[in-house]
Amino acid sequence: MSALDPAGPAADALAGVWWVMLGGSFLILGAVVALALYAIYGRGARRSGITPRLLIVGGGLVFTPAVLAALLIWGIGAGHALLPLPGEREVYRIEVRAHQWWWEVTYPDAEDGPLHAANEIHIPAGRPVDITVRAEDVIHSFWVPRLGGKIDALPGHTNVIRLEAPAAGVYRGQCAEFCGAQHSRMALLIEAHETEALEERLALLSPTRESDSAEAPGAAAFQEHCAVCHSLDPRTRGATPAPNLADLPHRATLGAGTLPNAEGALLRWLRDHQDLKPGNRMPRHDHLDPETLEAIANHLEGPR
Amino acid sequence: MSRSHISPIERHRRLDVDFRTPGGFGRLTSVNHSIVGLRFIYTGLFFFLVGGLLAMLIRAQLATAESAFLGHAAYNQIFTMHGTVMMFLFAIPVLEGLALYLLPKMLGGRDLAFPALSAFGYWCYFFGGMILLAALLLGLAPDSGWFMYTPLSGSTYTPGINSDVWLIGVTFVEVSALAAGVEITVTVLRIRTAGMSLDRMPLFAWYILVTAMMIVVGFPPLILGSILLELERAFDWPFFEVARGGDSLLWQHLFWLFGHPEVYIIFLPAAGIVSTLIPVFARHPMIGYGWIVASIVATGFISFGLWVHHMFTVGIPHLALVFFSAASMLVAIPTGIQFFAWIATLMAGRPYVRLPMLYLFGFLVVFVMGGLTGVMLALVPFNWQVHDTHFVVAHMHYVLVGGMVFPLLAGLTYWLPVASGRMPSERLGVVAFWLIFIGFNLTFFMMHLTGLKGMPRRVYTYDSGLGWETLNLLSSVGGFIMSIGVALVLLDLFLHFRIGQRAPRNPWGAGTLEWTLPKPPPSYNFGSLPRVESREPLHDTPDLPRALAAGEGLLAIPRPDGRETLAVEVVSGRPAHIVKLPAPNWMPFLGAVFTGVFFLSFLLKLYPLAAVGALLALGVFLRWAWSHGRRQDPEPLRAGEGIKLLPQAAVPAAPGWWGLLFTLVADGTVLAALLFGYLFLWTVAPNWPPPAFIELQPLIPLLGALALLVGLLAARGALAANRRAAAGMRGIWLLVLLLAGLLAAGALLAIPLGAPPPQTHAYFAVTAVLAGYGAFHCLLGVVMAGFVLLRCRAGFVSALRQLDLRVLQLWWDYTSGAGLLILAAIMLLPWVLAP
Repeated sequence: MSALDPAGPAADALAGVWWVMLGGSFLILGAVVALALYAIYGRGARRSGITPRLLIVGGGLVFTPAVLAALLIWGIGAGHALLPLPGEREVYRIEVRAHQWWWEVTYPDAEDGPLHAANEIHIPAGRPVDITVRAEDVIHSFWVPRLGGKIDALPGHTNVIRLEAPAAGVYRGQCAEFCGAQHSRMALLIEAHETEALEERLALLSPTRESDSAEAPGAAAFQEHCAVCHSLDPRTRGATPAPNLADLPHRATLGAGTLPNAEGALLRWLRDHQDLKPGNRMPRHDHLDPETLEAIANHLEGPR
Repeated sequence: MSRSHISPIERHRRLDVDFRTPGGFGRLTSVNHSIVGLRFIYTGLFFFLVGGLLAMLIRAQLATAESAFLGHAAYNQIFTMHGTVMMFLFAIPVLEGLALYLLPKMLGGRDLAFPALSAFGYWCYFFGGMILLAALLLGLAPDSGWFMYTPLSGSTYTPGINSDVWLIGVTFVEVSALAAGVEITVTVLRIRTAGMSLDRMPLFAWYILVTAMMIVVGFPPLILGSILLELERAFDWPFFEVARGGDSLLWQHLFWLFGHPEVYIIFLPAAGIVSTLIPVFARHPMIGYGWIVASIVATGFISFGLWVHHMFTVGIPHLALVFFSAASMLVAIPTGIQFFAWIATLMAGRPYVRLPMLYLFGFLVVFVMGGLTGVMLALVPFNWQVHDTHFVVAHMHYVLVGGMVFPLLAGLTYWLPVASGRMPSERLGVVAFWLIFIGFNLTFFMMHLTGLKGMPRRVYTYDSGLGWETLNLLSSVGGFIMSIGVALVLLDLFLHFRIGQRAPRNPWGAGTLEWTLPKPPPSYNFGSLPRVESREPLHDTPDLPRALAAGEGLLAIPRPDGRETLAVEVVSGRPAHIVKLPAPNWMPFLGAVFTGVFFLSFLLKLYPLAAVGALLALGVFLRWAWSHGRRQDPEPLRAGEGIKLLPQAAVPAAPGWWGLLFTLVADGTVLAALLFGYLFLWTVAPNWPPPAFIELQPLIPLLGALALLVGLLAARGALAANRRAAAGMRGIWLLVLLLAGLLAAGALLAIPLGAPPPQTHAYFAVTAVLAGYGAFHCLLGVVMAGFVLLRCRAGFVSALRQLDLRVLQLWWDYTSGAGLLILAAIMLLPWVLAP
């Protein structure tokens, strides 16, 4: 999660800017403090030949503007890699819609048409990815520090940020703009894959659920209690979008990073989600008996 | 005449009778600037402790990962209130208080230009602060962040009363900031002693003057934003809701249009403290006075051009980003010049180090670091990485604690002898300084790294294993070390007032006028007002304290029911007229109580009661206005040194006229921000153009425009008739003005009443607010016209005593101009911009 452990061209450039500015800052701070101490305690300060004019004009009107101009000219280009400018290289596209408190992810160019998922973004390694960011309710901010800077998700506006992961791996991100009760529990993962692995992973989003028997207890309960908001079909968003659950068993975490998706975690989430992530938009399930919850969990985790 | 015919003791007795505040409940009637200033400072320091307590809760929660100490609901209220309290209830009021307390003493006046106004401001601050504090104790405090971004703070996502508490409480407090802004501007420009030309003013007064002017134009955008958001929350008028033509970005622009100047509104007075102390402890006059004044003014201007750097990640066009990036760095230049001038002064002098200098050393280190990280943040690409992380938390505290708290502590220590007559301790104070300095750096230096390691701001909990635990624990430890330091400062203050050593008249060897006063200063400050011939009058005439007490200055002989001080010409400092200061009275307190009834009833949605409160407040203000002036033309009064001056009732540009002028500057900024919002929504908000445009018969707006023009002429006509002493004609013009004002208000109100309801689209809502703004000013102008008519009848107005009519004319100049602009915006903009 550290911007000082950068991956990819954008974050590399920004970390480089940081180290140069840090060095420069320590030099300037040291010089100013030394000058002030010399002025107060230095015995020869008054005869040092450092005249007021030299200090005010030389320091205030020459030195400061020169440093600032140099920094601006050199540094402003460092953000270039984050801009979705047209270029030679083929760009992979992702759409993100931020919700209180989860990330809706859409693959607009997937084979079967746009596919929807949540809280994880799977991208090709070594390729620029343009991420289109919107907000569905309040303002959020999309940020994956190891890959680059952040961009706000605003209601009614669309922003695009370009990120590139140099190698396969998982990069954690988190909402950066305060967005209410569970701003703290709004993480996302970007996983970069080699080309084939990406296809395999996206294949897990295919709508195989249709073959499930609607008679199975879990499926019926899901239809009754969950399907109002949640969809198991990655091709549909649903009227009141809640996280699409098509690839739920394969996700690394539940509740947008709230708990690792380990053995038994889903049942715990279904039972205790308002304690694990208080205030989240899913109603309590106190009215459902343990058997029903378990059936739903089994159905969601069931064989594919 | 400069030799008095009364003894110093007799002079003291007579002045004190007039100026002192009664005891018991009479304390509520105080208008004395020393008392009101100290009240601001005490109350501000109390809220500093409240904010500090909230900070300790925050650090306790974040000390460990996945802490169960506070839940999200409590935490979100606490961090919101920490920012709100520190900004609105501590930083600004304390600095205002310091300025109100010191300015007359430094400028050689017996009080401020409008002592009752600052007393009113204090009660507004007090009651507004109490609303916020009560909400905090009841668990109903605002919880959408001190920046209150919509739509999170809107009624959909924050349905409770929490956001309303912020909008109404903070607006109430801002009334007091605006009052202080107008008060200070007019005081520094007009209420100085003889010979104190602008370029002989202490630098502190320059800093405060620019700050006050920044308040006057900086606060209105936020006040407007708060009104719009409250209208959206209370009456469902969409300004920020995207679906109905609003835009949440409008809130961000209005908020940061205030929010960035705000940083300099806090920093400049503190820098003024630095510029006051450095030459004293360097034992050398300030080098580069002109450079510093130019830097202050430049900072004031530049600070209004950087607000977008709080919004670098919202998706702003790249070229604009580069512009604001450069502008943000530009502000470092005037700040740098001041630093080099301070160092040059230290180098030229023979510096000695006492406790205040230690705090200045803390300021130097901490603020330079904050400035350097500020330059980093101004670089757009780097900003994209660390914006909204703990890096910004670190930067902001380095700037605000470094740029405000350290200088404030230096200033409090330095000026303590003025108020207490005792010297600050060099032992406990030094220990407290080092605890604060070390604790502060431990807390906030770590946060730069926590932020770079990816920790966002405003999270109430975080997972372990992300590399944030150690840094956060260190920050919390540092925070508690700093708290112990603050506790020691309090202990030191307590002991100071009990057992501090008696201070000599001028303990630090300063050259400014506040050190000529007896300790603690008498209620009237100066027995007689000095004639000043340089920037450091006390260095010119070390005997000044005795001479002033002996009546060797101006206004040395108190007239019965006197309470007089000098007004000077703005630039030259030549005595211009005599100002009559108000006696202690109930107006400030009652006015604030009724204003409070208005705000509190609005908060509780008791709208009829709110209207009653507003009317009662208006009644108090009119009663107050009625008590001024006189019914006979005055003779010029002897001021000493053979000078004769008119009292303010007989001068055209009395302080009251200047006060209205700067109030109208603030008012005009509200209108400018509203028009900006209108254009912004039209060009940027997604759901525009609106479903329909307002179809108007040209008759109504034309009638309105005509009435406004007649109003403009009638107010001037009444003034001209008064100059010719044509009382009959004056009355006719005032009646014409009354009718024209009513007609104009009616025409303006008819526009939104004939349009679809404001709830349907931001276009109709903005139009309604524009028209309402114009109509409100017309109606207030009608009330004023009626008031002046009665004043004429009662004999308060003559060819010489024309202040009432001058004020009325100024009001109508503004109202007519604003009304015509509003009509043009409503009528012409759809015609120009519609497809």
